[in-house]
Amino acid sequence: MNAIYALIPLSMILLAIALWAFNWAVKSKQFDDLERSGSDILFDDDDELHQRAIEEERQRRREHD
Amino acid sequence: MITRTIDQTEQPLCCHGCAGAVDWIQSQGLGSFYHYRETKAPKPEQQTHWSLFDHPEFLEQHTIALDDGNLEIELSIPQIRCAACTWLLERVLQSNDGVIMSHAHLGRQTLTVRWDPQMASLASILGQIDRLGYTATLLTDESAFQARKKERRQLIKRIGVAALGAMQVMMVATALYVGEASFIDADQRHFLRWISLVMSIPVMLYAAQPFFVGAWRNLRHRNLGMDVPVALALSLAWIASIIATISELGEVYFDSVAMFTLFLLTGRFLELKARHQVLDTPVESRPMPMTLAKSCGDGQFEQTPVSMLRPGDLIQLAAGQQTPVDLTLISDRASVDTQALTGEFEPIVVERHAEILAGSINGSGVIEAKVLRVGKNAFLGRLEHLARQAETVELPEARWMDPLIRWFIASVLTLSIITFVFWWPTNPEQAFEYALSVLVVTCPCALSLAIPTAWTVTIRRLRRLGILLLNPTHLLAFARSNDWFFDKTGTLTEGRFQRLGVKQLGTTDMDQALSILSGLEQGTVHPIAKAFEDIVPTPLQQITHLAGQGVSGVLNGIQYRVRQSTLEEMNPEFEYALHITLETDEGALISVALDDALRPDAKHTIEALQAMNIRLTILSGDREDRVQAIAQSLQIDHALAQCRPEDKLHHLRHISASTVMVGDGLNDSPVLAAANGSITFAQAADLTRLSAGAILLSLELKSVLKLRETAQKTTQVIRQSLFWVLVYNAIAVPFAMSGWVPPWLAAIGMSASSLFVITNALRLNRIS
Repeated sequence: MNAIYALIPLSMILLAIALWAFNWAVKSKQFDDLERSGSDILFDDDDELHQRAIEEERQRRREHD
Repeated sequence: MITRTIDQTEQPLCCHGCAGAVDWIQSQGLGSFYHYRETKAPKPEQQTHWSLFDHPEFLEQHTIALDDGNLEIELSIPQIRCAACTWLLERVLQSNDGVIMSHAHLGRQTLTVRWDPQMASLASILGQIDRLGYTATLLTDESAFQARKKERRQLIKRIGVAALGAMQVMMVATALYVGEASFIDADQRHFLRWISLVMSIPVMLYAAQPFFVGAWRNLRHRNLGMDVPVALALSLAWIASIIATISELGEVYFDSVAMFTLFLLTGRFLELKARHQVLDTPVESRPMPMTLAKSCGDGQFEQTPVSMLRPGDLIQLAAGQQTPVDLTLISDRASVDTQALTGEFEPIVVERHAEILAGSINGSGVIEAKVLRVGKNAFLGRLEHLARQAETVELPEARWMDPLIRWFIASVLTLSIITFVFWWPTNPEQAFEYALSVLVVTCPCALSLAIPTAWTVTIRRLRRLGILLLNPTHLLAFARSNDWFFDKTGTLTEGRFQRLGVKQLGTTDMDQALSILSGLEQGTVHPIAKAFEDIVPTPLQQITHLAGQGVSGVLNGIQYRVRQSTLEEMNPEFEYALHITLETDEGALISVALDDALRPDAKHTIEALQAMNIRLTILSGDREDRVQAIAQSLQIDHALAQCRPEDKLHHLRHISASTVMVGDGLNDSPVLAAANGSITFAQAADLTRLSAGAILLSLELKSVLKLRETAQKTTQVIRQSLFWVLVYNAIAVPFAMSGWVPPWLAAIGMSASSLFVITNALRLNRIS
């Protein structure tokens, strides 16, 4: 049972890390919009079509310059 | 027909603007927008003055300059309706090289953009938003909005701390409870207690702070609010636990304290969210123009952002344009539509040097005017100020519940003291513990959750029914009041001109004459024009109109004129109506009687309310004969005409103690504010909307029936929850007073009670 003397203080360090991480998440506005986050997963950040379109656009601009 | 292939199917489109938006979205490779969107996309409109928004002065006023030289702005975009919109806007803007960050907020319908002014411009950003069909406007109440955001973030942080802390403390508490039964070693028990003490510190000192602040405020105002017993129970239990830990005597309540805090904060967050959701939602009204034509001398006018106008500037107001600033008229005369301000739809004629208040719409041709007051001093700014005052008024929840809560709190405190005093002579060690368990077991938690949870569910439910509930305390009146008052113009009636009848005066075919009349009226922005919208207009040449004097135009060499009818021309059947006559030089052709007509659902709504034995009264500022005509057709016995705002107020206060008022004009604002329950329509002026408890977004009068029904269910659920809390306490308190409730049982009782209350509130969601 003496293990608790080491493990519980260890878990308190983890708690401190968790608190810090949560604070960081709130500060970086991750909890600002609670309605939207649910559907965020549907949208692909690097949608292939979109990436290709951006590349094409850049290419065009370079040629234009 | 214009068509495009969207999501693999050929779809018809209404115009080239929409087709342009579709093409552009697809050329960006963002076609999956159409796959995920849940609502229709907005329609793009032509707007060309974006380059004005790159003016350094404008940028300085409305954007935040960040340390790294980038700029940031938060824009209001009311057409953001589903997650697909947020995705599309973000992706499109981010494909600009200069845009560093774009984040759309679905709940509040705003978009935050951060960009590098060297590589991108606000003009190009606004232009792109516009090309997609969205309309970006500046936030009107920026500071209040940011303050709410901060308040919410703060509370989420507190909940996070309370949740993490409570989980840890409860875990240790489980070990202690189990240990109690299996003869735990004293050293280990001591160690575990110290651990829970340390972990409860952030919960008490940070997370529970609002309760102590609230209790202190209550006590300073000599008021027994909900926060008083909460703060008392929390601090007594915590201090007692600390003493017990240090002295190694007595019980510890760290787990109860942490869980109690978490539950209460959750309840508070639900309430805050419901309240903020209402305040943050931009009620869709006619958007104010962002630019006005300002004179730069030499007869030239240049579009200028409204925020850069100063008093004394000469400006031009186009036909049908709404002014965002107060003006003094410089042109000779103008017809001004003040429906947004007064609710009356007949325009008023304004002479030179008269004032035109912000929010008025120019009903004549182009007029010139001097800027009189801008920003906070303009009429709309003053209304906004009033609005903000209304917003900071303390939540009146306490007022509704006041007697019950005060009685409850006073008895809990008294019972705790009695317990302490009773046990002190015989058992001084336990006296404090028993008194404390009375405080914990009574669970002000459930009591304080009962109302906010029911309100949150109701607000969401009403929102789906097209009703925006601004002030939940009005629910009680909606549910119970048997004295309902209605305004006439715009509330029981449509609030616009409609054709009542047409009388033929000459030999010309009636349909042809009506079509010519429609052709003349369609060119004007006068409210009469709306009465002819359904008639295909005959195009005329040389259309000229004089403010307050009618319209004329030429067709096939014949001049046609519209003027007010003479007494002989009028249709006697509609004596009280407005009559206009179409004539040529040869003589009059037709006379049309125009008046405001009843809303299509007025009859049904009034009958349904009367069937509930509700006494109905019309309070109108209009003429006696018109009011009587409406009252008769709806079979309402009590109708008061020619009421000034103060008369309306007097009648309302005089008749009954519990009243509901339905109205839409600014002149109804005082009565709306005074009634126990008040309802208005979405197109009403800001002040009217803020004086009301509920706004009918659906613009249908019959929504008041749904409102009453929902309100009745909500009050019923709240009553059930309160009843439960009282029954639970009646059972638990005697046990606690006799010292039979150990801390763990008190904690279970408290949680069960809270869970019951929350589940009961959620039941409101399922009622169809």
